[in-house]
Amino acid sequence: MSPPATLETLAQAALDEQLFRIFEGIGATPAQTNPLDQPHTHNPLRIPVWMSHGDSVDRLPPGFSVLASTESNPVTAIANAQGMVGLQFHPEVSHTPQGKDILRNFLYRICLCNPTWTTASVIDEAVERIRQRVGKNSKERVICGLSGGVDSAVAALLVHRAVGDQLTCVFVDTGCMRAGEREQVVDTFARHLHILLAVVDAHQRFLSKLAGVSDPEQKRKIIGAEFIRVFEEEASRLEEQGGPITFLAQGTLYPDVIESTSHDTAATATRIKTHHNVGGLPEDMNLQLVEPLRMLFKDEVREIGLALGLPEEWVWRHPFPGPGLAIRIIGPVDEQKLETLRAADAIVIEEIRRAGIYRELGQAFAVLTPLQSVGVMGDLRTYSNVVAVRAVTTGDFMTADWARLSPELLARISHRIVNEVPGVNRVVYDITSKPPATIEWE
Amino acid sequence: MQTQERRQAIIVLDFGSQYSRLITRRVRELHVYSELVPATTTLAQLQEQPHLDIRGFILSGGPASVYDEQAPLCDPAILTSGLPVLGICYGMQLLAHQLGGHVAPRHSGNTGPGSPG
Repeated sequence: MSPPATLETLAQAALDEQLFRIFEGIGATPAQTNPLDQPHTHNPLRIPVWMSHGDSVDRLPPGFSVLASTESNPVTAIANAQGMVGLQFHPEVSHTPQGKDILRNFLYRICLCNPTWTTASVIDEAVERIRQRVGKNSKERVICGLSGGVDSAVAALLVHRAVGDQLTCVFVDTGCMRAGEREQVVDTFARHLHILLAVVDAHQRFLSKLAGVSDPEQKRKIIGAEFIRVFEEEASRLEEQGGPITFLAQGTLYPDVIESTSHDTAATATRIKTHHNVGGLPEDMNLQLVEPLRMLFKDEVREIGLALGLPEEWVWRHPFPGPGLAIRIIGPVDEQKLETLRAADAIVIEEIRRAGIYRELGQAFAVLTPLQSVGVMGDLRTYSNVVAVRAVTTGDFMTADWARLSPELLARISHRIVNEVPGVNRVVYDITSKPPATIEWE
Repeated sequence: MQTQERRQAIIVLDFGSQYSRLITRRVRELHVYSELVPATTTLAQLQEQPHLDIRGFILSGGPASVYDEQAPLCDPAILTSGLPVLGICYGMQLLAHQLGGHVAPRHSGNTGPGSPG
């Protein structure tokens, strides 16, 4: 990759409308025109583009013409009259500001597509597919585990729209949830959306299994296994009450599908942590999968969620690990530490929301460390825990940068945590990027 | 599945660019359905998909050079199908290479941390 270059179309190429379709109607903004190097003679299209190094075309295939060049590459765009186009720059990245218009030209002027992929049409089609698979007004029942995240919620909403009360959602309270999470699931799904919801309060079970365990991998395994056990028990209870359940709805997304079928080894990069997907398929349960989000990207899922009435706050919620707060408490987990962390975490999120930057961040949370340090509160010497605050910006979660939160915001967070959360007398801010650190501490 | 309407689609062939997924997303943001498939996918395989009304192809960028021994190529049937094809970076070089043009290897300068796209 190199910095942006200035693409300049050839005046002669612009005369042939058929060949020039990819650049039709595209122009530089006045703001772009100024910083670009001075135009020479005529008045061709000049726009910034994000170039790619590497080989370059030095002899055109028969029937092709050069449409545009840059200073360093005379053959930057080529086309033939049949709608074959080659670009030596990246129209898909935001560093090519007119890139989206160029792609739009390809879709609508060259491929002659119609705009058929809209939120409404995606919902209609997903609903239709679910009905075909499950059968509307049949006795077939669907179960769906809600994690509190957006994917499982939208999957459930689509299934509910398709087959109504044939769906029962299950929410397992592991005790390692954030403040208010269980209440929000009940409020949104049961009260507002009138979806059948079974809430299993299993926090005692999880806490007793986790007692004394400090190894993070061990914690993840315990929670993953226990989750499946609880989910299975609840499923058989539901079957005893209301008859057999045939389907399990899951919020699998398109990127998961691409990754699992990809030829590209880079996409299946080494797993650093065992990812535990709450709502994952219990292996020995004999359920058929319904995956209504299988062909969708995250941003499409969010749009559908909004259209189906999922509260905005939920739709834009940061990702949360399956093992929950258990891996944000360094060392053994117990009820009291969970309470401490929940309170600190709620302050972090509240202040970040209040500052209006929640959606700019990829993730933000508190970590309860086992470190104890000396402090003074009033006239008293204290000896209590250190809470670490973590906030990152990221595009894809593969890499992340620590967020440059304002000193004022950090001060408010710190001040509130030490004053409002018993057992914490010091707050530190994590200023490490990923890599080398991971986003989560465990 | 027979009752399913065929959907207008742009197929993105993935030659390994870090942006392949982004291309697919951009096409969908422009309200046309798009799927990302491995570079070696053939036209025949795609035509077997009953839900796809293929309107065009995009060949993504990728780290290879057309001169690499293992350089992934595009199914020639795609290039002669009469459907529009947009080649981006490596995809453009493939168009030239496979349709009778010529690609000059660029002296390998300092390309920085990003892979050639």
